[in-house]
Amino acid sequence: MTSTLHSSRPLVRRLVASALCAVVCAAVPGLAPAADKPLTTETAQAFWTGDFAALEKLNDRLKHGKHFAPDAASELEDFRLGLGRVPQSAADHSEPYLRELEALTLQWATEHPKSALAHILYAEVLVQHAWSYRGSGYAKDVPPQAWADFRKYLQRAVEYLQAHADVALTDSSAHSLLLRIGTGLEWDNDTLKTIQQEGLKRNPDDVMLYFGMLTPLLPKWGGTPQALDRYIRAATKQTQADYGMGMYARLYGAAADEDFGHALFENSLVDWPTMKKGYEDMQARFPNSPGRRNHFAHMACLARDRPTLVALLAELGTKIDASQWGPNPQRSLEACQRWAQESADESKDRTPEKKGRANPASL
Amino acid sequence: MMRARRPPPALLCKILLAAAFAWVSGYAPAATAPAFSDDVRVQMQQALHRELARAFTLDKALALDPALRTSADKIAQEHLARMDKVLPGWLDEERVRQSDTGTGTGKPPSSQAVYLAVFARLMNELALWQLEPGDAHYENATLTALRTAPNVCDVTGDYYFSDFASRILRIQALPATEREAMLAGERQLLAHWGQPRANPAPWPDPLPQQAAYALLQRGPADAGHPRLALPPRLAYTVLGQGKDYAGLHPVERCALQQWWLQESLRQGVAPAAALNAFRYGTMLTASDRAGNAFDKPGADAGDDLAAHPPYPGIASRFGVTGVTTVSVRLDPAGKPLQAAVIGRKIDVPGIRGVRPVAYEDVFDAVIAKYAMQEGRTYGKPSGDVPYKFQMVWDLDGDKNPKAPKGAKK
Repeated sequence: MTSTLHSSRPLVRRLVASALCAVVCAAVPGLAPAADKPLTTETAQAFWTGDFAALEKLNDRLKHGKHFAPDAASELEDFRLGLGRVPQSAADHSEPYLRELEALTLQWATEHPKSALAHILYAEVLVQHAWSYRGSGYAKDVPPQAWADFRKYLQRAVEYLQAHADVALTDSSAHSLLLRIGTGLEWDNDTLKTIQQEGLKRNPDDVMLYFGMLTPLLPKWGGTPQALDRYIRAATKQTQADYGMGMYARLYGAAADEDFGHALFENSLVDWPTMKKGYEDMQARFPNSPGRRNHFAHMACLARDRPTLVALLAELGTKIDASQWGPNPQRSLEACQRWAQESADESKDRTPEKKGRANPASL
Repeated sequence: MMRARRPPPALLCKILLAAAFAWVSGYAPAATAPAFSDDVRVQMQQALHRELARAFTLDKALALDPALRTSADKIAQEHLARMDKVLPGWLDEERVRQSDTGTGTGKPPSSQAVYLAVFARLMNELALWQLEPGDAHYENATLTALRTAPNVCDVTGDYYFSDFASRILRIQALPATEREAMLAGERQLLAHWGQPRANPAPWPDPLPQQAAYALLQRGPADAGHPRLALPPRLAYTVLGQGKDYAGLHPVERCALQQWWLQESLRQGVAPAAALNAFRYGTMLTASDRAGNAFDKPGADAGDDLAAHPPYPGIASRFGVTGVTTVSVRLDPAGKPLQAAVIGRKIDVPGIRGVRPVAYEDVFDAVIAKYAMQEGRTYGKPSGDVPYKFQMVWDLDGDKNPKAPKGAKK
C-alpha cells in the first residue's frame, strides 16, 4: 500500500517554521533573524507539545548568567520569542484557542506552584489574549469594547502576578512581562523604571529589560525625545562595564526600528558620533556580528555619514543582509548603495552632518 | 437490514494503484498456472517482506538515542528474519486453502488472490500486535509513558507505518533502567505473531475520539467543565481551527488519543480500559494505511437517498464482507444528529481464527456518511432511544438487494 497521499508535516513543524512576529515581542533591533533561531524553534516546539518540563529546563539554564550568541544576541530573548509563538498564532477561532491555553497554563501553575515560569506563562497567555482584542493596528481602529477587553485581560495578568509575586517575581521574565503590561495600561514611567530595575536585580544580564523600558518612552507611546534620550544615556552608563557605549547604539537603533524610522536623526536627540562609538564598542566585544554591522551601515546612511557607509559596505561585501535596513529594507539598501557610489568629488558629502550635541564623556 | 454490493468490475480494474501491488500486474499469467513458479513465490515473499519492513524501519530523523536505536533495530531485524521463514508457509497454506474452496471451476487459485489474502493476514497481525497488552510490568510502564511524556506521538517518516517506532518512542520516554525489561516485552509480543491468538478486547464504545470530541464540545476546561486542558497543538487544530478528527494529522490524532487516555484516567476509568481505548484509537488499520488509494474520486452515493452506500475500494480489493451495526441519534423530527458504528462482524479472506481487526473499520466511514446523509429521516424517535440498523456488505453479486430496512433495537 502507499501512504504518499497522506504525507504532510504535523502542525508543530508547520507552525514553528513560520515566523510569526508580534508587535509586542519585537526581537532586538538590528539582530532580528529572517528565520527562527534553533533555540526559538526548540522552545516553541516544547510549548506546542505541552512539554512543560522541557520549558522549565530551558528557563532554568537561561534565567541567570550571560547567555549570549557571538553577536551578543540574548538567548533569553530567543527563548521568550519561542514562548510567544504559541499564543500569538492566529487561529480561525481565537477565543476558544486562547481560553484553552489559559486553562493549560493555569493547570501547570497549579501543579507547579513553586515554578516562576509556570505563573509567568499563565500571565503571558492573558497578555496575548488582551492583544488579540487590541490587534496590532492603529489605536483609532480599535473598537471601544475591544479596548475594554484589552485592559481587562491586562489587568487580570497584573492581578495574577501580584497574587503570585513571591514566586513569579524571582524571575526577571516576570518583570519583562510587567513592562509590556504596564506599557499597555499606560503606567507612569517611574513605575516602569522601578519594575525594570527590580528585574535587573534578579538578573543583571537580562538585557531585554533595557529594550522593554525603551518602548513606553517612544513618541508613539506618548514619550518625548528628551525623556528617551535621558533614559538611553542612563542605560548606557549602567551597562558601560559590559558594552562600553554599545547600549547607546542598540537602544537608538531600536528606537529607529520601532518608531523614528528614517527620521531618527531629524526627530530624536541621537548623537551620531556617540552612536557610532557604540557600534564600534560592540564590534570590539562581539566581532562576529554581521547583522549589527549591517544595521550600523544603515544608520550611517541615515546619518548621512558617507565615508562610514562606504567603508562598511566594503567591509560587508557579500554579507549584506537587506533585512537589517529598516522598513522596506531592500529599497532602503539600494538607495544607500546608490548614494555611497556617487562621485567622491561631492565634498559636501564627505563630512558627516553635525547632528549630535553630546559626547560620551557627558554620560 | 440493508445490503450493499461491490462495484462493477470496470471499477475494480482501476484500483491497482497501490504500490504494494504493482508486482501483481506483471504476473497475471500465473493466475491460471497449476502452481506458482519459484520466481512468483520469491516475488511474493519479497513483496510481503518489503511491506512488513516498512513498519519496522525506524526513520533516520527519529530522535532516538543511539543505544536504544541499535537495540530496536536488532529486534526488528530478528523479527523480519523470523517472518521471512513464516511467510512461505502462509502462502502455501493459502494456496491450498483457495484450491480447496475455489469457485468450483477446477482452476487453481491466482497468485494475486493468494497474495492479497496473505497480505491481509500480515496487516491483521500488525493490528493485533498493536492491540495486545503485555505483562503487568509492560502495561504499567506503558501507562507511565503515556501519562507523563508529551512527545511519545512525535514519530517521523512514514506515519502510516509507524507501528514499531511508536512503541520505541514510548520506551525512550521511560527511565533508562526500564529499557531492558521493556525491550524484552517487545520481543515477547512479537513472538506471538503467527501463533493462535485469543480475540482482542472489543472496540471501545464510543470510540475514544468520539468521546473526546463530545467532551470538548461541552465547553472550555474550567470550573464549570472540569477536564484536562489540551496541549497547545491540539487546542490550535481542534478548537482554534475547528478540525474534526479525520482532518487531524496522524501525529495529532495520536496526541489526541494520548490526551484522552490521561483524561479518562482522571475520570476514574480503569487503566486497562483506558489503554485498550488508546490502542484502538491509535491502531493503524488497513484503511488508514491505504488512504483512498483504492477508491475512485467521487465514488460515493451522491445525493440519492435511495441509493445504496458505495462499496469501499479497499473492501472490494481484499474481498471484505460482513455486517455493520449503526446507531443514530435523532432530533425530535427524526433527523440524524450523530451516527456511530456500534457493531462489526467482518470476514476477510486469509484471516481465520481471530477477528480481522485491521479491516473491521473498512465500512465505518461510508456507513456513517450514509446514515447522516442530507435529507435522510428515520421517523420520530422514541424518547432518547437511538435508531439502530444493520448494513450487510456482500460481494456475492446479489441481483435483487432487499429494500433497506431499519430496526429499532
